[in-house]
Amino acid sequence: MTKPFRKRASAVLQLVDEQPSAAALGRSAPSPTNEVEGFDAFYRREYPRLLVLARGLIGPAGAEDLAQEAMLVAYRRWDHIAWLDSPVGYVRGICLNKAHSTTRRLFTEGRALQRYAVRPAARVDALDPDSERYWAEVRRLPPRQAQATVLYYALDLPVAEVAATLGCAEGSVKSHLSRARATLALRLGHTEEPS
Amino acid sequence: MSVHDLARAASADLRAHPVADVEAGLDALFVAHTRRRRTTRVAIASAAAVAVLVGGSAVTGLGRQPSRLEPTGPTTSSTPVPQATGVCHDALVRCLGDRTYVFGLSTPVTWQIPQGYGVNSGVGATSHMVESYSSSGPDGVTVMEGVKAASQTSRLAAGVPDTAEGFVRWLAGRPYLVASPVRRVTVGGRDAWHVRVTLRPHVAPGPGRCSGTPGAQSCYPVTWQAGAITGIWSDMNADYTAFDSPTAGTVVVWSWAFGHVPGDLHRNQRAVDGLSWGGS
Repeated sequence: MTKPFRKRASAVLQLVDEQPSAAALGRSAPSPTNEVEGFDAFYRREYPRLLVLARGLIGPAGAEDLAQEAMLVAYRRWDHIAWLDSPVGYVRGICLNKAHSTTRRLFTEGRALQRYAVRPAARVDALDPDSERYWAEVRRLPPRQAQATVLYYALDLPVAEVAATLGCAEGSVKSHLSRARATLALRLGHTEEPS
Repeated sequence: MSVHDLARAASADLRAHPVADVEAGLDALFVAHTRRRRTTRVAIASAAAVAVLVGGSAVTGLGRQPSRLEPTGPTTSSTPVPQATGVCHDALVRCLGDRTYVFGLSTPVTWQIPQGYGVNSGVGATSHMVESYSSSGPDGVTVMEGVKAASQTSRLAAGVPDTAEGFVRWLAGRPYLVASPVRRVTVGGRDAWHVRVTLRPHVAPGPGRCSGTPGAQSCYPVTWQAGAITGIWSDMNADYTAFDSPTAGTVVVWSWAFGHVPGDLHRNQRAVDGLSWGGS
């Protein structure tokens, strides 16, 4: 195939780096009118962020499949999930669980390999080398530490939101983050404290 | 730099990284959901059918098969690859925006795909085939290059002119099909030949095998592409529109639908109308 087909189009959506709404973060009660958000709107807003979460958790290969699988689960149960206080928290939880599963890892890797076998020129854009190395080390952390790190840093969630997503206390999240930073500092040769 | 600062920088890099086409991903999700639901129904129906047969309480005779099969396009693998959400990452796909894509077949095809239809469906675009499945039912549109007529034994049919007109007239003359008159049309700006077909009522299950379908399922083979076979099953309506390409041989736009639902092929026509070829 010729080179132009390897290029991404300018029309491809970029991740919008804006704060999600309070409702999306699950910090508000359902609206007074008892209306719930449609799945389409939820998907359009949250899929890019879910993809960030997935990529942080398992790397570029299989991240899109993982995010889409989590969204598919959400779609099938949307009549229920839409009424939760935090639909996005629920879907992030699905994503975390699927990423944590060894079976899932093997499955996504297998599917990625399968896809590459069919599409040998398929390309996964690389991050900055330092970023790639950082996330690779994050994925070597114990699962809870890795999850806390991705939620806190990659999604820029407050500790309370991370705790709600992981189903643990805020103190536990801080502990996970602290241990993760210590390990990463050692492995990456950086200082542990913010400069 | 502290590890905290590094984390912030790496996170910003991750968030700023280009992502897949969200609209295409949403369409893909709807298509995947429909297909999984249908697969589940088919599994249940198949289990029930087996139970009935084992119990000897039913004789199917020449009955029509349920609409359990769908075109998967020519593939060398029996395991369809899940639909990619990041179609713009695909080396054979160029995204132009406004749901318009260029697929890198040997003769690149530009396709403005309507809402409700998936992008890069099935096994995804290859150098000679691309599909778009409807999210609302088992129907879709498949574009195939280098098509020749298939024999009843899933081989290359003999004696059929290797032209678009020859292929369409051969198809219209199959005794097991109910076919519309062959007529001249244009598709994507190309002069083409068209026929609409469906299986005659009460014909026996097809004698051939089609690529990408379970081994036990039979079909009436129609198209042959370097050994890959697609065809027609009972309960299917299909439009075959073919034109001659100097570089791609006979190009077939295959609009297909299961279930004999009124208006299904008419709905597909919106997707067909979105096709165009360079120089057309």
